[in-house]
Amino acid sequence: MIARAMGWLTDEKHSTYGLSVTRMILGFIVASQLIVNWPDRHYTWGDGSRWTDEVLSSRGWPSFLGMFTQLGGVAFDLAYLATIGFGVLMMLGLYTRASSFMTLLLWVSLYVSNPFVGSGGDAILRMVLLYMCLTDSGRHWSLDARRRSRREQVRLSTGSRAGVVPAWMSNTLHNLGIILIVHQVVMVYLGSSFWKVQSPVWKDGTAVYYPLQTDAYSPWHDVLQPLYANATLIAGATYAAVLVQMFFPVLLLYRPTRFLALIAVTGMHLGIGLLMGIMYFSLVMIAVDMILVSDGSWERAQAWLRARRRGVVADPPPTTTRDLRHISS
Amino acid sequence: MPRPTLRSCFIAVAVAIVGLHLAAVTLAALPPNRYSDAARGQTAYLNPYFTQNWRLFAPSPIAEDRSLRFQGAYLDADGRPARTPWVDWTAVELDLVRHRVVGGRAGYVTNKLVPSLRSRTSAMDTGQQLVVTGAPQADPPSWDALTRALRSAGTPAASLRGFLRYERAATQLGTDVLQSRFPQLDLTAVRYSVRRQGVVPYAARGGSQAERDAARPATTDDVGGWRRPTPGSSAERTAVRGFDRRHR
Repeated sequence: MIARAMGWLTDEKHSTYGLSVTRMILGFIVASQLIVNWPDRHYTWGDGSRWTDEVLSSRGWPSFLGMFTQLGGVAFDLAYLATIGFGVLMMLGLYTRASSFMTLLLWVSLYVSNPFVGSGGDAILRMVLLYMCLTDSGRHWSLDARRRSRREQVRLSTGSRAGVVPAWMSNTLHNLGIILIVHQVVMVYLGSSFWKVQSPVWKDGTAVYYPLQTDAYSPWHDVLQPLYANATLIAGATYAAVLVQMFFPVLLLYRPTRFLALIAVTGMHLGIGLLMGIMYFSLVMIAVDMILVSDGSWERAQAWLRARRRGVVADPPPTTTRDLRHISS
Repeated sequence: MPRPTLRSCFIAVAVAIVGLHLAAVTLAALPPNRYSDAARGQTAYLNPYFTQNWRLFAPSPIAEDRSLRFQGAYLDADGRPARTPWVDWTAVELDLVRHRVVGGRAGYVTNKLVPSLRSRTSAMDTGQQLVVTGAPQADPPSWDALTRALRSAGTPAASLRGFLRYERAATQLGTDVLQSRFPQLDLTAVRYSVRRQGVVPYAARGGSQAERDAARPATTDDVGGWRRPTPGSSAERTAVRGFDRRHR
């Protein structure tokens, strides 16, 4: 048992494809979010949010994360653009680990600068970005991967690269990072469901109705009112949210139910994002959930897409296919 | 017994650290219970970076519209006291949310400020609340005077610190907003009001627009006391004014 666990931890890196997808989506989220908010950046995080300084000082954030609170005007804009730039680099997977770390540092500094802007999505994002520093998130679909293969710096058998940490150490850190991320996601769903089952409105199937009637969490309620008045839809959405969140960890244990759980939870997040106007929180959760799709599934999907592109039906590769390009970066 | 190697030591230490962190996150993420409460000292390191707060509209989902409104006082041309109309700043921010697939991040700023403002005032007793709301328009107290008055009313030090933090923040934002709207006025005092209105009750959801509006609970306004204008920096006021022009 212990030997098996040690083997799982040290022999190879897991969830490399899913993690690469997570990296790309998170990089896109950081960059696109800041681009979308560019016209209002100074009120949201910059000079126009300095009325929050006294509240901010009570939150216990370390002073080295106070960069955006110290910058104003053009300097703020340059730091803001740098955050967008590193987000794009992270999405593209160029100097992945360094760009991920810089994205983390700048994004958290920006987040800290206004205590009334953050959301649950930001909290998940900063934790996952930190855990991702332990991982090899640039293994696939990245400029780093393309560069490595072009230079032929790949050692096909050992999965290690001379002059860097040993493969077992890199694999251990990567896999522990994966465990930390998956556990955090599970706790989001489980914790939320435990809060929900304590409440009569979640138990009687009406809870989803209430936020959908507010101006802040229902951007379309004037248009979609007939939909929100439908008791069946409201009850379905309410109970589905509780059940999916509560049984999410159990559903992950078997492949068919894991697939079902990911479909259900992705649908739930898209619904929340579109109907409640909190798209970034939803995208962050969808991005992190991608880690739960196994490497075998991503490889089969890739092979199917390649075959479609070539116009031939290719046999899917076996699920045990191992990516031999183990690189400890 | 085999000798421990660098590899086995590294893995043991890494797994132990991660295991302890996983346990802390698990305890902190669950709703309050005897085990989480008992381990609160050990899980304190999680705040603020790893804060676990995953209520997500639970246990009670938000069921009211709330807004933060500002009003200023000034002396008119004849030297008589006058007041500006109320400015609904939350409505301005909600322009970033309404009918947008991807809402702007500043759409919820005052929506998140309001609960903190209310909780700090509602934690006070009646005498302390009178000090907070009773400050006159003609002679608003300085922050030092307000602090002394609240201390005299028996406000505990921690509550007083928390209240003043949020009160100053709201007053500063209010001053910036009012100076943006009424640049020609020389404000002598500012105050804010928290307006709340419950949503259409579930039972009345199927009616016409007029029936649903009629079924909504009455609006409540919690009006704060007058404060001396507390403007932010020039850059802050410029940013607030720009935001106001884009979204009012």
